[in-house]
Amino acid sequence: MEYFKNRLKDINQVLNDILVFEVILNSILIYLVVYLILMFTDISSLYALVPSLAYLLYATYQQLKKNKLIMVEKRYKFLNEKLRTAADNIHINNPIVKQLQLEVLNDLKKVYASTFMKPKQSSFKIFFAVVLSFVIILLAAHNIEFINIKGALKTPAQFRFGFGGVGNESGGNVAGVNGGNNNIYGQESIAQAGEEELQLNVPSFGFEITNIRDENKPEEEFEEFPSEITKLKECVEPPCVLEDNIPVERHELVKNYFLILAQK
Amino acid sequence: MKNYKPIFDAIYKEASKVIVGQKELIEQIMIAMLCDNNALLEGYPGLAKTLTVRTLASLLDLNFSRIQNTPDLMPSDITGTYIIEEVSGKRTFKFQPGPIFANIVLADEINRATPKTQSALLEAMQEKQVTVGNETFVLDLPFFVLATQNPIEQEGTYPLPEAQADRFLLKIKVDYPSPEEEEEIINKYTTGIKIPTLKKILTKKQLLHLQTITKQVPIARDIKRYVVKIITATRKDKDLLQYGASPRASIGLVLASKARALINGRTYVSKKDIEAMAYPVLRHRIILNFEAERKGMTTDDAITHILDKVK
Repeated sequence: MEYFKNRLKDINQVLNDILVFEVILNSILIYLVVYLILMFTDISSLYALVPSLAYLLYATYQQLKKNKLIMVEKRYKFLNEKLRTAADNIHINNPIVKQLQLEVLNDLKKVYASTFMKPKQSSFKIFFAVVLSFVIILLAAHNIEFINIKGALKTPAQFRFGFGGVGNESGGNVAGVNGGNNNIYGQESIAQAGEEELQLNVPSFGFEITNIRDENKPEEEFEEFPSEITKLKECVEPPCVLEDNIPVERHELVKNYFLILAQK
Repeated sequence: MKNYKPIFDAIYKEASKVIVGQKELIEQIMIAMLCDNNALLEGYPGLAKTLTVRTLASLLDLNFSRIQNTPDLMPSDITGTYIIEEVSGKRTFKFQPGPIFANIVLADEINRATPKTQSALLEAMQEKQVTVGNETFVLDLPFFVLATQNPIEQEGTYPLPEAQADRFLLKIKVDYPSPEEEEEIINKYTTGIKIPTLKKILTKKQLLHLQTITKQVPIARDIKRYVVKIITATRKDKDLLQYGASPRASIGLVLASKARALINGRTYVSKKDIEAMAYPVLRHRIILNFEAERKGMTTDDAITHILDKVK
């Protein structure tokens, strides 16, 4: 019976739509949750699409594979075994099968598509998706990154988690951790080497800058080698004595530099 | 198309005027008739087997004959024979039909007849015709053989071989009535109350039509697979069974389930029909092994075990 065939098609179509809607909703939730997790790492958030799409494809296939008539029979006990018998014998034309189809069509009037939806669950999922979206938008403005996975992959032995100043008493190298401080140089305590502060003091030297290169001088005039080692060019094959050609005032400069270092 | 349940309810109601209880026996005999097949009735003497068959024959407007099998019964006693008839001084051979030329034949204690006599009956069951000499006589339809067996007093009997028992669709176990039913039997048959005349519920033509309708009852694919699972399980279960059922059992189980569905006013076969009919269809088609017999199991126990396994 043509009408019965069409009715079965409708049932399949409606149930497919409901099941696929649930799957899409779940995959959106997966995407948002994974996106939120990836936000706290240095991995691109685009990777959140991977599990979401994988779930979408797998779950859609599984749901479409399901026998929709058995789903209806489980929900409506008065159709148990009747509906699938009528569907399996749809091509047989005899009075008993026609009678069965008429009975099933009559019973299908009491079947409502809304009974296959889970309105509470779906509403909760939609609400949760909206909340997650807002959380993501708010967190995105703060550029928070707790875990440096790429850094960990480069230097796994030196990697340590750090959150603010906690757990850093023993010092050591800490890679790219920002405990939420706006100071891009990090906290002062991080700059500690052991228990002592490093005091770096660059003493000034008493020298004048005398030999300033003229910037306007064309490039071609630049000598390949400084004049001090012109003799190096002449001496190609040993034995030869290399004499440097450093001016006397420069001698004094170098000598003084090393004297000061030695005194320190 | 109408619902056929009221017809069968009317048959039960009318039959209950004569037969007390035995509703399952009546139902299963009706199932065998709707499937255009034969049944083997097994029960102790005095359980109204003959009375039930005779009552059903009158309700369905069918000719009934009874054959009391004994070891000296000859095949010609069943099929009929040629006799010399003298008409106007002229002698001719005339065929005298035997008791098999009826619609319902009750073969009492079939296991007491010799194998040769049994085979004459079985040929009629299978072919729905009888060959005597050079002539073949087609039997009037519908034709059913309801054979009975006594589970006790097996000495001097010729048990039906499994290959021939397989030709019966059902093996119906006739049980004792309940105490209340037995009381009613005493009241009915010891107080001189006249048994009312039974009215005919179905005609031959209607019964033949119902046989056609029975085959048209649809069955779902997964239920067909369930039937095949059960039958193949009887062949694979070597823990309890020596021999399993043949494909004839699969056909029989499906047909019997269709008939049961129709009797219960349904237009489809249910799993419950399959499970209910598994017992009468399979109990004479499977053979228990020594281990099962040693444990005191019956074929019904083995069928229960298989149904639980297949579920």
